[in-house]
Amino acid sequence: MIQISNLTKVFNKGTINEKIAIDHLHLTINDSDFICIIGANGSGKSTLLNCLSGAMICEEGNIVMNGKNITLNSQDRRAHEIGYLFQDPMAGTAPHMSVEENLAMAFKNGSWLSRIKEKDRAFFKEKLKELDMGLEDKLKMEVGVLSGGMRQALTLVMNTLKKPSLLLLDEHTAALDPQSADKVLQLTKKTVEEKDLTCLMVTHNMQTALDLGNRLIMMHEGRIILDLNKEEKEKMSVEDLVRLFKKHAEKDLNNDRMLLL
Amino acid sequence: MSTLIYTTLELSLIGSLTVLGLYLSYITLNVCDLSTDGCFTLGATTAAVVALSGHPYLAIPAAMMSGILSGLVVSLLQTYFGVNSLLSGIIVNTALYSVNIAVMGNSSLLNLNKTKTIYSILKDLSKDTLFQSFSFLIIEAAIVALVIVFLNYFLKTRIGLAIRATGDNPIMVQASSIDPKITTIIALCISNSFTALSGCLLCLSQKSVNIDIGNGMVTIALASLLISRIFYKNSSTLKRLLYCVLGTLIFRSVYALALRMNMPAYMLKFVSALIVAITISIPYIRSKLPLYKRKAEIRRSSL
Repeated sequence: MIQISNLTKVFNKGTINEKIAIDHLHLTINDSDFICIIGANGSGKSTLLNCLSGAMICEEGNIVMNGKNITLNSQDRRAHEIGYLFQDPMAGTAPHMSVEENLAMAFKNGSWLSRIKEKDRAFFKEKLKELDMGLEDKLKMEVGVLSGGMRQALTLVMNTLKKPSLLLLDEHTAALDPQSADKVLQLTKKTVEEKDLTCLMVTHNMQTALDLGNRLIMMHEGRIILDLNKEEKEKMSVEDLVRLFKKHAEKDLNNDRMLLL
Repeated sequence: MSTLIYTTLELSLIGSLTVLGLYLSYITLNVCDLSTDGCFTLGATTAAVVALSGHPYLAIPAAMMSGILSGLVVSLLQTYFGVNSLLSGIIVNTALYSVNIAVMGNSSLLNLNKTKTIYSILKDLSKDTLFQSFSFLIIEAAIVALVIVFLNYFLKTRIGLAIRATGDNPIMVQASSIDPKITTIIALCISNSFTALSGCLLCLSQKSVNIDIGNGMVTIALASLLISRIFYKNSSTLKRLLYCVLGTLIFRSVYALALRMNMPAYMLKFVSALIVAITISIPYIRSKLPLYKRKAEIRRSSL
């Protein structure tokens, strides 16, 4: 279980460009939750993920994961338990290293001075076969020559070789062509279900947000303005979501107008 | 002529150790370590002082240890003290000048003519045998082979993979459980231990050391490394390491040839600087060439 309390992240603090990206946010993520996060650009979705992964350290608040306070832990320490997939399919793998070397790095099996063994290789092959992309025959190939979809699928495998306590997906299919995006999304769904992972997924696709997961969160100006459970989600349509979306955007507009008058 | 070949081979083998060190820092970790000159000299002075004090065998590990220490300072400056990687190398290089004079006991020159070293020991051992005339080469080839075997093994271990990834994709490393600070420190310590070893062997083989022994070494080693890079393409790690030795040999041969054709010896550093500048700029210029051509065509047609 992950408890986020009073989380606040401010960019450019103390300057005229000060922006409150996350504003005293509270969120409890239960084990096996698959939460989709939607919201306009600048609503704080990615910042929330970055604060959880440790890429950014929040100004205020606490993040408690399985009873441990990890608020100030460095990114590499948290990475033992938190998986992260970037929007950029090139970001999650080392391009000049082979598929098996990338996997070995993520697998972290054996001592620091151990090398890839035949047993590891068989294990990697088995895992890659589940992707159904033919990657199991490309163990020795450099990752840089693979397509974006393959690289993102590989990154997914690397992040779930050992079950992470939390998997963060930051629009991880947004930079792929529609077919690859669909494939990676199906793989994500399958992996999360099979391994019973706890997962936070940011997406701009309302339909995806409704189809996947057991919870849906809408963010606005660094706050959570909507938190739907599975039953509530099933009653929603894309139109309903868009209407809610617009309502909040218009409210801002009206506030601005009032200020101007 | 045979002396020239012998010297070229010796200098190539000794120099290739620095090149292998730079392979780890410049190619693998993607950090340009400019403390090479000072570290090379540090290895030489440490080895000389230890050998002079009557420990011929200890000279080699002592020199490597000094390299590790120098690498540790460079890497700590860039990881935990926020100093830019180029600048931290330059700072340490400057400081090492004073350190080196201090190591030699406030002198800028030491002579090992009558000192017992591993070279003199092996020379005595191989007296009146087949190996007599090239006992020096045997020591150097053995050490280079050991270093290559070590690096080939090390770069495939988990920590080796982590170091390669740090140079290949820093974003990924930060999001995985690898601490890029630790990998940088380990890689630079190992890299500098080889640089110091290189200086140690040069000092012991020429039986003297002066404060300028490492001047311009970083450029010479980079030139050799960039020559070896031409052969890389898709070759394995072991082949790449062997190409490092080949690259050094090519560089030294070209230099020896130029000397035979009466190029003055003081031109060495100019030539190596030229090679580095040319080998780095050629791929860039080649990639820009089609654009220049098209621009010229447009200019011609609009006239």
